[in-house]
Amino acid sequence: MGRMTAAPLPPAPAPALVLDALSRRFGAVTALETISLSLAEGEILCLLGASGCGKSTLLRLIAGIERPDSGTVTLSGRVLSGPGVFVEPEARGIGFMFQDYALFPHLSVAENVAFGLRGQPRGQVQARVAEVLAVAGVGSLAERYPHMLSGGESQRVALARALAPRPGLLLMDEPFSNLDQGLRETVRAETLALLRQMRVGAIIVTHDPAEALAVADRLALMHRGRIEALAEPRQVYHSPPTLYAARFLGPGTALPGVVRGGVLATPLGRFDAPDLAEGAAAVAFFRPQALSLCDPAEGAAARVTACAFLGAQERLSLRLEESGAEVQLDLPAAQPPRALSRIGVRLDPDAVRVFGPSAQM
Amino acid sequence: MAAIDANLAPPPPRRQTRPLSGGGFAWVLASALVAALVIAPVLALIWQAAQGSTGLWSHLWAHVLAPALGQTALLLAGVGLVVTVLGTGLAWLVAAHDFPGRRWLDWALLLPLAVPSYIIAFVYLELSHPLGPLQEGLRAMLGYSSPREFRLPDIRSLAGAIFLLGLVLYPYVYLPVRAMFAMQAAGLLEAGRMLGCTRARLFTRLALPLARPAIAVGASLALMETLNDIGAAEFLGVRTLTVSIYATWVTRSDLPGAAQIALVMLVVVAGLVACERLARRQQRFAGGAQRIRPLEPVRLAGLAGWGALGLGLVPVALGFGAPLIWLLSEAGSRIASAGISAQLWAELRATLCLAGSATLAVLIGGMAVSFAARLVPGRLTETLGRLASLGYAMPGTVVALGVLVPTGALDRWIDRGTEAAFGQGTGLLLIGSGVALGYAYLVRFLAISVGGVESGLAQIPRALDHAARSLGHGPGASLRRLHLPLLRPALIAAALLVFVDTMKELSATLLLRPLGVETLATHLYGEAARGSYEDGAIAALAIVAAGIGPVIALSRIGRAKPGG
Repeated sequence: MGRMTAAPLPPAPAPALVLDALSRRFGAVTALETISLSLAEGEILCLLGASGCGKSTLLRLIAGIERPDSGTVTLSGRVLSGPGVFVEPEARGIGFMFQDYALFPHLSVAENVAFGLRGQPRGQVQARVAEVLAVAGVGSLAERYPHMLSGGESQRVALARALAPRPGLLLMDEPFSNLDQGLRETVRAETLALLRQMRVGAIIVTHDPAEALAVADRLALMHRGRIEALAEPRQVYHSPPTLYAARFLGPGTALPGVVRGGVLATPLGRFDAPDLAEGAAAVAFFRPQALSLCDPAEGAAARVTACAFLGAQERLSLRLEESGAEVQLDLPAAQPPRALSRIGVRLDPDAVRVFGPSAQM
Repeated sequence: MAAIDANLAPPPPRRQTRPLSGGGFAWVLASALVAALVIAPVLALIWQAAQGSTGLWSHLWAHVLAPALGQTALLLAGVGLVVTVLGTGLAWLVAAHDFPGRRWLDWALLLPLAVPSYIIAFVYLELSHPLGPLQEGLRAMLGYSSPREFRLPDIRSLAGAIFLLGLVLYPYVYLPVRAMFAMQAAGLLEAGRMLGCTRARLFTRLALPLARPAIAVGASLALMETLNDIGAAEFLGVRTLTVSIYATWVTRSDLPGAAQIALVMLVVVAGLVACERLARRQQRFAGGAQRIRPLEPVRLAGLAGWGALGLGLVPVALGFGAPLIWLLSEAGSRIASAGISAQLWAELRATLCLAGSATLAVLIGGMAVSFAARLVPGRLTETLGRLASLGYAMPGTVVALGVLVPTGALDRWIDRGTEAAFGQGTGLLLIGSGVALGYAYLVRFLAISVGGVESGLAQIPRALDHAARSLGHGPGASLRRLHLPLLRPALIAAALLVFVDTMKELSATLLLRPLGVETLATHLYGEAARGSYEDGAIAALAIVAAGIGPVIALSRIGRAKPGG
């Protein structure tokens, strides 16, 4: 899809974290299968996936809380785990923010933050604690105990605690999932600003595609213990490598068809599929905004079956008259056509992705 | 082990206060009646203590109370230390390490709970006798020929009592601390490691401070059991408060004096209960925000693994294995030579009969209290439930003394009444028929059934109550058709615990059993006190065997579920 070519990247900095063919099994279940990826200095990567896809396990392998069955983890050129090597989690210099924050209930906020600063002079510890608490916006809570904190405060304290020892990398396991919707976006923006300001690279695990798209420099979509897609958010959204990735990142319609002579014919048009074999069962996938209204005579005729108001736009559900296929269409206009009215639709061919059989798993 | 049974069920979640109208009054009344039954002995004790002449008080203080308080304080301090060190250390060993036999050791460490304190003392008096198997064996190993050349310090001492009580009571600490480590600490310990804390320091910097509330809860319960104990202290010659109450009453027939000591003891108990409740409140904070995830243990391979298993087996061997083997061999040779006497069969029947009827009464009382709290939620029914559960902390001797006062008075009143009316008195009707003893069991063990039924009810969502009501069932019909069937496992578990605890009960049984009736426990006590060893081992074996059932039930509590 030509229109969506990404802007040329600046020369990539040396990778800070390199994962090479990491695997982890639990009994007969393969939780992770030969995962390889690298993270640049200061880069923010989102691990996105449904629950049980292995994203949390991957995070725990990097942290050293769990051991991989095979593969290596290298941070700034130092092998953390690999054949015959295993650096204990406390010696890795990696920060970890837990989903439930894991604040120590018997220590005050200041003591929690100071926990990772062991072995430094007292004055230095106090100064650092005050500094990170202030930066995280919870400077006034230093003497409180964890059970006295609200959800947002706990999140900020946990972040301050993880950042206090100046980790080379911060791992965050669903860091915003325990917050209310409204608070979540504020805290997320603040957290990201803080990470950028401190130039800390981070891997953020999330199951929320909107969060991953909004936050990540690059995004890794995981599925059944593998990385299904790994690229910048825009690229993954607009040119997903598989149907699963396409569907996971947002709504869309997949129209099935059969490839004949390198072309997939669907009720909404014919699309090039040069790499697919003759007779292959393929689908054409497009997002609701790729369809537009037109005169029924000019495009494909359809009936409006339902109309959902989404705030910024209207989402119409349509049934194509010729084939009976159901498609969705987003209208920015505030005046939607009435239900059951007859309309015409046209599909922007540049916004269509064709997935062959191997990309539909 | 009344205390542990009553207290180790998972705490019920906070209840919603959404009262259901109608039909509640009778339940509240029944609940109030049960609570009154539990409180009456305490009030009676206070009244009885006030009857004593103040002139004797200074005598009692100087010659009985002060030394007994001193001994009791030392015993409590010693047992507290032993159970804390053993219980916490073993919990860390099992929860944070993986080694061969760990799963097995995990529950085997609870087995000493099956051995009541008076049985461990009874067994070790024999085992460690200068001419007994332990010392003979040691001498043979070390090459001495007579006890004059080499002997171990006498087990009949305060130190001996601390050692033996610690051996059977450490599971009270082990159980909650292990559950805490296994289920709540995982996330926090991982966070500690990510902040640079080494494995070795995790224990002192995080695990121990986190476990403090659980340790306090367990140690409080173990100390309540220590106060309750009469057999071990008496056999080992430690004059504790409990022994003094017994002596003051039975030997000196000074009921007010005994009541006064009992009140002093209740003050000590109140302190322990306060400790326990405070610790539980802290536990709630400690556990609050954490998701349940099992702790990833460190694998100890090779020699270290076998060493860990060996270390963990020591308390099991000393607190359960050795007594069991000794009892088996003694009982075996006794049965081989003399069979099982008719007297022992009669005692077994009496024990089962008492335990069975007490269990029934305790279950009914517990259901009345818990159902009232379910049907009419609020401060009143909650308080009644608390009052009804107070008995778990009261030592059996104190309960017996408190029960004796009102039932004795009632007995005399009935006796005089029937004598006046029919010219023939009934004698001690309530005490003679065992009703007084059953009453004491009810007071002491009610907490087990209240706790069991309450946590069972807490598992049943209130939406089900509302659904039943909307489908035309009144409170009574809902209980019968909805709650009782769902509660069956909880009721069976509670019945098992109460039954076995009643079978093992010694201190109240000793004071309140009808004339001429012996249970297995009192039989053993009698033989140990006389220094004669006839059927004692068989009786002890029966009690220990019965006690293994609840241990298996307990071993399922606090086990981390896989996955998550």
